[in-house]
Amino acid sequence: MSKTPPDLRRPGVSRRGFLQGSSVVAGSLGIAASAQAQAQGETEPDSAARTIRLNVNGTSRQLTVEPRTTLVEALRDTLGLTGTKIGCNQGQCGACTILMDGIRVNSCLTLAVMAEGVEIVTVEGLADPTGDLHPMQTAFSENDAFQCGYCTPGQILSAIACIDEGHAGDAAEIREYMSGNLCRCGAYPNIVAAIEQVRDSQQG
Amino acid sequence: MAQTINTEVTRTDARRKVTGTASYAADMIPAGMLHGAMACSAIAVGSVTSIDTSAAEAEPGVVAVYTHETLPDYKTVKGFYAGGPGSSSFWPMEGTEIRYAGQPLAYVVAESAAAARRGADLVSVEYSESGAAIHMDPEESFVVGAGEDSEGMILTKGDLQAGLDGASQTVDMTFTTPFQHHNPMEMFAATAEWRGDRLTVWMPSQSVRTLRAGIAGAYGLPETSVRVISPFVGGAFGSKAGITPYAMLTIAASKAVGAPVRLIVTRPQMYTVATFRPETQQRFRLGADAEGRLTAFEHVETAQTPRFDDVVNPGTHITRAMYACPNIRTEQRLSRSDTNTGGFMRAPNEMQTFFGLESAMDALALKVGMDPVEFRRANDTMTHPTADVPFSSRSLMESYDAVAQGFGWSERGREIGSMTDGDWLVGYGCATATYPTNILASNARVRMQATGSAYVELAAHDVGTGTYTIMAQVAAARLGLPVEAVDVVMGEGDLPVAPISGGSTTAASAGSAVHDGCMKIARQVAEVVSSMAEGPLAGVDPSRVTLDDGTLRGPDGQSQSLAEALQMVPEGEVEVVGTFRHPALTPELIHATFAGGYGTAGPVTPEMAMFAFGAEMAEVRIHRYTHEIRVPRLHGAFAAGTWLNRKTSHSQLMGGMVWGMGSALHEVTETDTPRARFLNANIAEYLIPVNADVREVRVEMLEERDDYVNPLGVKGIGELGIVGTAAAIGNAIHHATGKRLTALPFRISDMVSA
Ligand code: FES
Ligand code: FES
Repeated sequence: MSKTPPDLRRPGVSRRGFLQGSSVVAGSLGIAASAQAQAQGETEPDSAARTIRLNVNGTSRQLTVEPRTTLVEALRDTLGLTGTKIGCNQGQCGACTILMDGIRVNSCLTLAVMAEGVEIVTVEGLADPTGDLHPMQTAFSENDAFQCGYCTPGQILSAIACIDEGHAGDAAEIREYMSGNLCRCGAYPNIVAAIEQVRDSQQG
Repeated sequence: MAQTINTEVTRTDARRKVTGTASYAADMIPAGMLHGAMACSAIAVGSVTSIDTSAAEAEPGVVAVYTHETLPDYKTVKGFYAGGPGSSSFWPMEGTEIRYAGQPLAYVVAESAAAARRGADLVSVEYSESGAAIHMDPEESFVVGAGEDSEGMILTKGDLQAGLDGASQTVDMTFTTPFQHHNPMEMFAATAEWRGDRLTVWMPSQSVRTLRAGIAGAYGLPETSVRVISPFVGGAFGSKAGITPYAMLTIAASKAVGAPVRLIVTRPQMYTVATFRPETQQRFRLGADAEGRLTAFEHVETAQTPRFDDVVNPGTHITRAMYACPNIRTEQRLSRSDTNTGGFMRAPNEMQTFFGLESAMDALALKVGMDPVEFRRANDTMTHPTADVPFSSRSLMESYDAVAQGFGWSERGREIGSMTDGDWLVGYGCATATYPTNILASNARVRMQATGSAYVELAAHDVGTGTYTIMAQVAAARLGLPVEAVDVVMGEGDLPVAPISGGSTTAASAGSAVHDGCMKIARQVAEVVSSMAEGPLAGVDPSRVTLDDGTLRGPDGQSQSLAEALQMVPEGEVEVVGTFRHPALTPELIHATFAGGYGTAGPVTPEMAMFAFGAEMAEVRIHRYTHEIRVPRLHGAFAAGTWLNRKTSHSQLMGGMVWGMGSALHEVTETDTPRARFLNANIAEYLIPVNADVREVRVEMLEERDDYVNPLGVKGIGELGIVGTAAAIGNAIHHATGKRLTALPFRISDMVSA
């Protein structure tokens, strides 16, 4: 997935943190968790659950997670925010894309404990409190930028970030920078049309 | 009332899908839910000599680990190809036998998904391994159902040899297509909750009726004790139709552990615990006379099947419907290897076979010296070539003419390699698309209130196909209501019977049941208002009252809106069950559907042949030095009877063409042949088209009327778009380079070597 490496933009999510996240999902759970514990100079056992605070969609939520719990599973299974989808659980499809301080991130490759202190936005946080949809949500609806809708929450968050990053200059650039979000229904041309529509209305 | 059919209506579920409130099966989290995970076989064929679950059991959070020895009350069902609802005839974890790589061997239940997965990793298995072959050997094949009347698995008409001998040009070409996996974005999942002997299952499904009837049957429960819930499905493409072992394992584990259990199948496991598109070989021998008319047509399809099921997806039944020819021979063969049972994947009979047929037709057109489109025109027919009945409608050449115009086919250079653009070799190719119109029985409950609301309920599914929207449109159009005033409930096994969402049947069959329900409402209301002393329709013969977009019309021009008339009905509402029973549906077929099966009639009935048609054109560019293959333009024109919703239909056809491009350029399940297992079992190395692969995809939807197929005049379109795409791209590659590629997918390496 093409995205600005987080370490260039913001200290909270470090490159090292991302690598740890990746290795966790690759299967060496104990190793990564202990590496993390060592790095943080902690002495408690690897598997001990801990209580963390996550700022999700403008609300601070307290929850208890294991160190190995991924952010997507914390959002879905612990906080009940099931709008974020899992399409592979291994960083290949983009279905789990969320925003962390405005940067698009695969939440299946992120540990929940790494997400403290950042602003997390999920699909549930896009419409305003009165229920008015975010322009990207409206554009996806109007352009039929989905069929089954399963990739859609991830596509929408990725699309918002794509414009914010300045990677929506033309259709070819959008296609390139949206290629980390797979859509098996093949709605790509309509996804590009939706993003162009929002980009143009923001410029207008 | 604004027209609602054949317009662009935004999906009624769009808001739910863009806000994350559409509920997919794994989004349901019953109180106290535990998490399941499977440990699967590392070998392909052999047996389990021992399983050590102690490390898994010691893992913090793990609640239970079940094996073939320890899982109580695990039930199985008959496989689909043996006439049952199951995805396979072989059930894992009944004993020690291993028959395919990736077969489930143990099931872990834990307090978190992470703990369950870790537990599954810690299950340690000792095997006794036997030799295995994952690929079929076409030399070791057999005719399906040989020796019996096998529904035309071998069919001959005329004299093939005479047709070949008399031809002025012939081709004899063999094509191959690989294993492919559906890979819907939504991972397979099942959540089971038992309360006493009542069971609820949340599971993405293309057939909630099949699941409910099959599961209830397996446990000896009345169907009323089993709920199956699948309101939204994150793509299916044929992969979520049958009852799978992972579902039955989850149901058994939940019962054993005494708590709800949810299993989300891992992406790698998705390659072995459900079905896939079997690899095939397609041999075509065609002959044509000097005018380009076919004199001989032979198609032999050989498809892979496992040791324990005969996976018959008879592609020859579709190819032989295509072109007029006096001498036709088709043969359907199978060849066994060591896999789980394959099944149907989007256009299961058509994708592979039309890659072969339409590539061979292109080659023959070239030999005869005809433009490929004109060659199709010379062989077009309004009569089914082997069944000898007319097509209920067939707009093949209209599709070619429409797509040719928009595409600019007339600009195509006649010679191979005659079109270039800088360092790019440019080619144009075309191919035919078709898909049979399959017919199944369906019911639908329709209720209309005088307040102007209507409710439609049926056990159909929206797998991304727009079913929620089109069912609302049909009711809205007939009842004279805005689409938003129609509430559609689907995706539950206890709703009125509707067909499996497969074979592109739902819009036509279930939609026709909704249509019938609306007509029945009109009849009931007409009877009430005609018997009243006053009112516009008082005293008219109710049997002569018709319904016209929400207006009841009497024989002499009297009229009253249905909503207004409903106010005169004491209840203020009418509820009916609409039905669709096409004359071609026999009692046996209707029974099969109502029993949870697939009682399909068509595409050929004693009177008619029912198919949708289309034509696709591709522009490919191959870089002279790097040999990369690009498809900057893919155009298709299609005719499939009535378009219910031009927006969702467009998306389905476009998505189908994107799939076709995937088959042409990307998709293949690679194998570790010595170890007889699928190799690239994930969604990064199993390539599917990504956004950057898809450039211009243009879809044209032609008007066509067909009064025979069903009252709505609808033919299915879920699969039509994928058919022919790979051949159109392959033919364009040939046009650009002179290289005739006969194996999917096409790759840079083919361009270098071939
Ligand atoms: S679920 Fe996270 S990238 Fe696929
Ligand atoms: S809409 Fe189905 S995967 Fe994108």
